Parts: sequence; C-alpha cells; structure tokens
Amino acid sequence: MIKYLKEYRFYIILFLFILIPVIAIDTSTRAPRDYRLYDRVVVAITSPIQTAISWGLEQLVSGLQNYIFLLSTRKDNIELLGENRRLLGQIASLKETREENLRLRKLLTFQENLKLTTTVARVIAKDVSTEFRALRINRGENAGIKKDMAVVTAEGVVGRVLRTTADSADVVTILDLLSAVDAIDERSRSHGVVEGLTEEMCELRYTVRTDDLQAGDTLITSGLGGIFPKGIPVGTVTKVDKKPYGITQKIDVKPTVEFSKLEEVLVITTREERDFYTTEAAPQKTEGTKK
Amino acid sequence: MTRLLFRALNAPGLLLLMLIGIGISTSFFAPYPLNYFQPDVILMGVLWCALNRSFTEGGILVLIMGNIAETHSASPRGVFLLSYMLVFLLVRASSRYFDFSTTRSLLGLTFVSSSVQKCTTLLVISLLGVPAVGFKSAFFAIFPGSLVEMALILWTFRGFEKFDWVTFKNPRASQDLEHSGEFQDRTL
Repeated sequence: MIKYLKEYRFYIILFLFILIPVIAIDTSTRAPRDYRLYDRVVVAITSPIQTAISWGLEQLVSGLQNYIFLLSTRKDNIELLGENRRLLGQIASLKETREENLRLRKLLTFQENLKLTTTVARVIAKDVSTEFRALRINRGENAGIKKDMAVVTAEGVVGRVLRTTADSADVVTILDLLSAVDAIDERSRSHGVVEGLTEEMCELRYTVRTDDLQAGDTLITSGLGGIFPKGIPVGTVTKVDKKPYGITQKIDVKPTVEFSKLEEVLVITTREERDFYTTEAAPQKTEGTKK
Repeated sequence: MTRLLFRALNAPGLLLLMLIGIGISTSFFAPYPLNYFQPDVILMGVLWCALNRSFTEGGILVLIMGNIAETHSASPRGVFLLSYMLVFLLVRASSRYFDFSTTRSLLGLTFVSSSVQKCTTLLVISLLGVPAVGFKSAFFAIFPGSLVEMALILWTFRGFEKFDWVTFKNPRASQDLEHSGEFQDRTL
C-alpha cells in the first residue's frame, strides 16, 4: 500500500491540488462566506496596513492640494506669503475640515430623514481584483455592523455588508457582477432588478418590454428582499433599448452614487425598521446576491 | 540552530510578505484612476512558488495564497483557488520545456500568466451563472494590471531571492548550511 502511495505520490498530490479548489467553489450562494478564525487573522494583519496607507494617501493628496498647487501663487506673492503662510495653512486646514463637515452634515441630514439607526464609516480599501467590486470600511462588529446590512450615502445605495471583523467590514457594491438590488421606477412604478455591469454602470434586468421606462427616470429600492429600506435612490436610467420583439427590455442605469469619489458611507444598523419594510412588502430572498 | 529556525520561517514569512503586499496594493491602488493599474501581488507569489519551490510545498503555498486573496475579495469561494492553482500547474508544466531565467521570458510569463488567471476567473464566474454582459469592461481591465505586474516582477523576484537567501532557502545558502554541519547534525 505504502509502496503504491510512494509510486503515485505525484499524481495523488496533483489530484488533491485540483480537487480542493473545485470542492471550495460555492455554486449556490455566498451565504457561507463568513470569516473564519484564519480569515480574521489575515484581515487583522492587512487591515491596519490598509488604514495606514489610505490615511497617508489622504494626507498626501491634501498636502499636494494645499501647498504644491499654490507654488505658482507663492512665486507671484513671495513677500506676502511669508506673512500669510501660517494663515493660509490654517485656512487650508479649515477648508478641508469644512468640506468634511459638509459631507458629514449631508450624511447626517440623510440619516435623520431615514429615521433609521446608522453608523458612519470611512472607505479604506477596495477589492483585491478588478473583476469584483467590493470595498472595505473601517467599522466592524465593534460598531454594531453585521452581515447583510445595507450601506448607503446621501446620494443613494452603495451596497450591502458581505462579512465583518471586529474593526472592519467588506461591502459588496451594486457595481459588482454578482450584486442584485430589487428596484422600481419612481415615475412609472415599473419593477426590475439592478445588477452590476461595469466599473460605473449597472443594468436593470427582468423588466417587461411593455413597461414604461424612459431615459432620465430615477430608480429607487423597492424594499423587497429585506436588505435595503424602500425608497432609496439606486440610479438613473441612461439608455432604454426596447426591441419590437422579446419579453424584456435592455436598460442601462448610472448609479446615483459616484463610486470613484466615495469616502464616507452610512451603514444601516437597525434591523427592526428593515423588518417593517419587509413585512409590508412581502420579501424575496434573492436580493443582494444572484442565485 | 538559528539558521534552521530561519529556514523553517521561510514559508510563513513569504505568506506574511504576501499579506503586506495585498494590504499595500488594495489601499494604494484604491483611488480612481489608480484602481485600473492594481497589480496582483498574489500572482507574483504564485509564479515565484511555481519556479522556485517543490511541487508539494509550492502547491500548498498557492492554496493558502488563493485563500488570502479570497479573504480580500467579493469573489465566490474557490474561484481564486482554482485560477491560481491552474496558473501554478501550467507554469510548472511549461518550465520543463521553457527557460524562464531570462528577463524577457520572465516578463512574457508574467503577462501570459496574469491574462490566463484573470480570464480563468471570468470563465469560472460565468460558469457559476453570472451573465457575460459585464465581462467586456472586466476583460479590458485585465491589461493595465498585467503591465504593472510585468513592471514589478523583476524587483519582486529580486526581493524574494534576498528573502530566500536570508532564510537559507536559496540553493546556495542551503548548501552553505549543510556544509556548516548544522543541518547534518539535526537530521542525524
């Protein structure tokens, strides 16, 4: 027996190397993707690095904007700059604070309008690959964030929490190829599912060809599925391709959230409120992940 | 004894380097438009393992690296394991027939491996039922990342070589270790 194992050792190992990934592939759902202890150790190592680098980049960009872009002005005003340098620094710093204040105030107003309990989080990293579009935020279980919580901004839907650690959480955005959000047209109340398409576009699928949808229409969350509360903007219809035959129509959607400039997000942490919406609107369990 | 300890720490150290690399690449290349140029650090590790590790050790390291990548991605579980393992096996098989020791061949290998890995990922997720309509943009996003990986692979490999030398994993360092008698004493 041992002789045969030694003789065919290479083929046995090769078989195992192919078998393990195949078994690992989860064909039905993303549900069992919670972090295990091993994953938590991995994230505990990388998360501080990501936080430090994103902070450093932010400081660098802020520094560039505040100083280097003003170099030509300094040449013209060399005498005045000596006197005003300290004040300019303070103004630049205050300006940055004011911008942040405005963004946070906007989020706060949105938070109050929602009447839901939310947690503000900062985006610290993006997905490791270009094929998938997830984000990592700097708030986790310690801040009350759990899996499948909705993530939004004042502009609209960002995505949902995929998994969490103590101090960080991964958010799968609506741009992800595997993301699906149940949505309705605000004007005509036509119903469909918004799915990720490219880095900046989504597609509204499963909309019947006879439904009245026009470019410029706003799509909002339907509340079905139990993840997103009803009425949050998802995107704007940019193109409607309605053929004279077939069952459905092809609709391109531009998300209301500008993902390339996303810095802070709100995570909706109240499940009770969401339950209110789900019981009201007969939930479907398919929202969030394509089956 | 210290040298043997260093050698034993080579594999965990390599994984730690991968983690640091992932931490840097996912956050440094996060802002637009740098996100299009994000290099695949894990792929470079996979290539290193395929060319400089034994079949068993390299394969196990590749499985762990694939798992690390999946921890930092929204991909369905197993997709990266499969694509990285495919690259590992292909590179090992092709290294029997081709010489990858020259700069040009290494750059070519990196580009081809990167493209194969990303195309395999897209193929697997399409087999999992994702409509292929979004793949066009994902397909074009493959190439900038591959070019950055080509630009970084030589420096990365030099870094890995130094790391192997320090941890006595390098063949010459291993020989020195064996000649020093420390290794023989332990094995006997």
